[in-house]
Amino acid sequence: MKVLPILFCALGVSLCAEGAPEVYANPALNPVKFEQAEQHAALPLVKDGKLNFVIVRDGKAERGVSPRRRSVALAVEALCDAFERTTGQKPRVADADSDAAEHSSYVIAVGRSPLTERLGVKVSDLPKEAFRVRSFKRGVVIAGHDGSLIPGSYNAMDWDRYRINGTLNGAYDFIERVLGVRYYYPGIGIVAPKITNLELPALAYRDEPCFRNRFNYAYNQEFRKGLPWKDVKNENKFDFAWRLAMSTRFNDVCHSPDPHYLLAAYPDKKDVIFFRDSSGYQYYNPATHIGNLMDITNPELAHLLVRSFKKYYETNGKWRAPWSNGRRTWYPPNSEYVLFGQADTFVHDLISDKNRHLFPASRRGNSAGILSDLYVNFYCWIGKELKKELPGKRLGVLAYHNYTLPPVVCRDIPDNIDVQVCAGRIVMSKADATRKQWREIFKGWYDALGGRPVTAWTYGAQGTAFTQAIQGRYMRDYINCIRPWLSRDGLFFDASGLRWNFYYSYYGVYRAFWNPDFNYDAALEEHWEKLYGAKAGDALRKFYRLLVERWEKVYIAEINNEPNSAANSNVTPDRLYRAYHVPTIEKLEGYLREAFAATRPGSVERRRVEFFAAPWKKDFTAARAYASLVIPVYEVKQLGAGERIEIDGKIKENVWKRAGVIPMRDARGSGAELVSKPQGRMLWDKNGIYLAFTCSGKPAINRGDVWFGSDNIEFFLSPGNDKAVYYQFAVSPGGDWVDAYKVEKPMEAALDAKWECGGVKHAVSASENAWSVEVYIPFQGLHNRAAPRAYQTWFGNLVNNKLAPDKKPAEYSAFSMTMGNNHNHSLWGKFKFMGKGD
Amino acid sequence: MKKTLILSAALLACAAYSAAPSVEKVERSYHKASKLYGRAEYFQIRNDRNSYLIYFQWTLETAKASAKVLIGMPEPVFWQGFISRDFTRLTVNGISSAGLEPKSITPFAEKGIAGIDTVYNFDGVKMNLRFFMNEASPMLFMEWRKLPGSQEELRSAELAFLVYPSYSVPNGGKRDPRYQREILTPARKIPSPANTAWVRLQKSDTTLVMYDNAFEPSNTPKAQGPCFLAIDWKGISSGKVWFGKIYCMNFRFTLDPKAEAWRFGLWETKKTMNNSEFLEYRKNNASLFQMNTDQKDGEK
Repeated sequence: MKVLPILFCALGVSLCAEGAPEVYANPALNPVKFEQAEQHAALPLVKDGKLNFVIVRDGKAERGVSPRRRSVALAVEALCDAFERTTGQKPRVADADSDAAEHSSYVIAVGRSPLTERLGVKVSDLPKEAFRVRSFKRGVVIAGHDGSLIPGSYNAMDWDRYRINGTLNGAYDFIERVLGVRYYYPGIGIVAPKITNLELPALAYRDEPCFRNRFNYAYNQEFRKGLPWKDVKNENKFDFAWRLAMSTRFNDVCHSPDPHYLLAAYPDKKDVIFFRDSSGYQYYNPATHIGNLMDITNPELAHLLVRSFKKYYETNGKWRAPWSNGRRTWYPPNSEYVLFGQADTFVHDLISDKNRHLFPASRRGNSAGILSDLYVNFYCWIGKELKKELPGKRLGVLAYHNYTLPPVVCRDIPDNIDVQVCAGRIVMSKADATRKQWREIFKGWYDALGGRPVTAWTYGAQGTAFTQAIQGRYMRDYINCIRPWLSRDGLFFDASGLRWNFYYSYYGVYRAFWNPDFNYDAALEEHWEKLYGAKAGDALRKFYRLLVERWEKVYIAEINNEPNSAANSNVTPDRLYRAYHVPTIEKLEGYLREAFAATRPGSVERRRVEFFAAPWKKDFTAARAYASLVIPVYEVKQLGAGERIEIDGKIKENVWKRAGVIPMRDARGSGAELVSKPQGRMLWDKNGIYLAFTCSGKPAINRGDVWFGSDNIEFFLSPGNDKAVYYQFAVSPGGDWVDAYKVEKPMEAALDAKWECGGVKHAVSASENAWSVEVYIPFQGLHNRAAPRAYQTWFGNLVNNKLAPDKKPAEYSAFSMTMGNNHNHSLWGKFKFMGKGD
Repeated sequence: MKKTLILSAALLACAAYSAAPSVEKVERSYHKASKLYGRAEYFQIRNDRNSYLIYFQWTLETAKASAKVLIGMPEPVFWQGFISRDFTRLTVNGISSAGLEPKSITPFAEKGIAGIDTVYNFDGVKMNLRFFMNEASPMLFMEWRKLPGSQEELRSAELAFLVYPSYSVPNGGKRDPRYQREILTPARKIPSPANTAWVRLQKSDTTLVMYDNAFEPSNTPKAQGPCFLAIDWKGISSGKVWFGKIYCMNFRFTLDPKAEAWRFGLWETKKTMNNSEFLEYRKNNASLFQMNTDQKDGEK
């Protein structure tokens, strides 16, 4: 008789021991590893609305640790905040060996302490950032691998974002899992259910991040000056709530060192640092980042860099001239890694007799890999010298731009080199050809490195709300695609920082960084009602699902159904607006209206709906505008025999009256009135093109600069119908002038801002209330191009950028819509060169 | 007597009134469904014997193709005959009329003819395209004429017609061995080439009856029957037609640049006719199908 109860008890114990209570295995949360829990009665942590526990921790720990690394202290703070949100009461906090801890009915023990040691909760065996949550008869322990408690975890060269906060991670997991709090976005994006009674059954689990680089530098940028809701505090803890951190010293390589700082550190080494091409032009641009090319063909540069690294370490980081100008420090070395990465390389004559072998025939003309071997060769120079001079240090480098593909020739890569591969716009993760390309690239690098994985720098598609809203869900697909070759040192998601209006997209990204198997759909599903209420949540759920459906079933399907589908990371307007066409826009608008109607004005749900809806109007407008887009055509009248134009900026010749006005409109398709009344006119003859432009309103002039602080017009011309090349001309009311040229086909090159149009003439006339300009562009100046035939069309655009008195953009208009990118020639109109007598 | 005279005059007046051709700008909706089409203008030109609809269809500019203005003849017959859209183009000095915006389209009615005048400027070469009917003929006359005030010389000109005689097999425009296209002229019968090919026309081919021996209304429900082209060879240097085991006939006439005008007569009937009936009608009414070689009708 006695055996049976024992048997049942044993069975009960066994059942309890093997699996966590189902409610804590929430698919909407990180999939943790449940462990065998100590058996005890349920812990009444909150009873009848009253807190029934004390938070205990080792109050003497973490002294001298920088604020964002005080894992235990931050965990306590987070728990207090969470309990206050859910119960209205702030928990008492006591030292782990205090009387309060000893005599309290129940405790929540945070971080390693004498109590956790006595309980035998081992955290020292946990990997970096990992944690354990374990209940016992008097409470629950939340403790993890904390750098703050392990001497030597940090050093002075570590970046602030280098944090090993296991306990803090555990605290947030506990808060989400047990208290039910959700951190979707700052302010009103935190959902904290009211708790009157909380009985914690036996519970034990652990977790750790999959990837060590999960940082986003911009989590507070949007709300730095305050939240958009008046009565809501800016907690600014979302780096913690979202577990944004790095526990690897392999930083994102970025573009380091800054070439200007490097030159400042070695002013006599300009010829070593910057590449000079065969025409004698040296790629040094003091004004900006682009246009500089550090000379990767020169072993002396590799030597100089290693010298710099050595000096940095010898001075313990005090000498940091190549990485800092005193006000700004840019990706200096740390205790483990030195970095080398440079901006886009738009130089075409890097090949010489000395390095011809680094340009294999298979890569000639390949825009993603033509320079791979040249760069890897340079990396090997650095790596080998680094081994001799700084053994133990590692070199972080980029595979980027026209050296993204793995090398063909340079395969003997020292094992102190780690590579960050810049490839992958995650929203394209369902495109077969793209996935294939990613696999080839990442596996190729893995093989080239002798079986060592790489990290990734991946991209968002930030041009439209449609892609920003859904791209986060595809991070897991991206990771899973390249996972065999992806290092746990992680990924960087380059997507305009962190735009909180699209919290639901970024949420998926950073959860995938923690665990790629995170069930994003479950998390999303759970959140609609939590954040917006049942009805509004349902409407927004449908909104989101429609976005995904159109993307996958139209945009991606079109790509996958192409007979010779090629990998392409660019989101093209024509395909985008086929996916998000007017009927879809109407449905989306309908769902938003439903969500608004289902929420009470002034309620938190209504404010959340407003926040959700905020970025959409302009994209709906753009989609509608695109749907109605007819290629505008402007007829360029021909000058008659004997008609002449003097380029003086005054537009006084009678013949200008015969030229029609180029119709201008708001460049983003909003239909907004153009107060400045921009007017352009064109004429042509067999020698060239004449452009006249007027604009009313006080002109903003910043002498010496066409672009910043000045009004300007931009005039684009692409001869013929194939957009193989185009020319850009810009002029400001100050008379400053820029001309540039870009090759698009057969292989895209960078905008060549060094090009000058021979024989061009321009003149400006400016007054207090207006400005005008006349331009003459000879066909001969366009690479000796033949004049167009009568009735032939060229693509092009005329854009007017008008500033307000405070120098902020006031009016942005164009002949053909630009959708914000003037170089988006898929939207350009046509200039039709009319015949004699037309 | 007076009453008789008055009555006779009235009858004559009525007869004269009813016989005079007319032109009217009308509304239609042909081809409106296409997203690439802009506006269209339709003109009905008629007399007692026949009625034609000439229409100008503007197409929109796209990234890949320039805007055009196409000339179609959807009535009296839509699916066959002189095609309903883009049945004729003139290319002057390498510039096609389809790529030009007409400077004006003006209906007119005068001196026993009625129709429309369409003025073009081919990069300095001014031309007028006239479509018109006269009182008696069931044909629609078509004339291209040089206009004064040109800044450029006409150095070359080629005129094209596109015709779907009788019937088109619904096979996406592919070759079909069942076609038995032929062209009957006063001088000869031009049989279908074994494979689709160009066939040179001769000056003795002053009229062309285009038909198919296999597809006639009596044996093919959707067949229309023949159509007809009369050619005034004055001013025309050469002509050829591309046809065979295919649905269309593509005519090209090289025009003498020195000529002042070039004229053609087009005929198709709303009523379906077998080949023999069509030929019989034409034979019995031969005078109605003469080209007026003194060019008085078309002079501007």
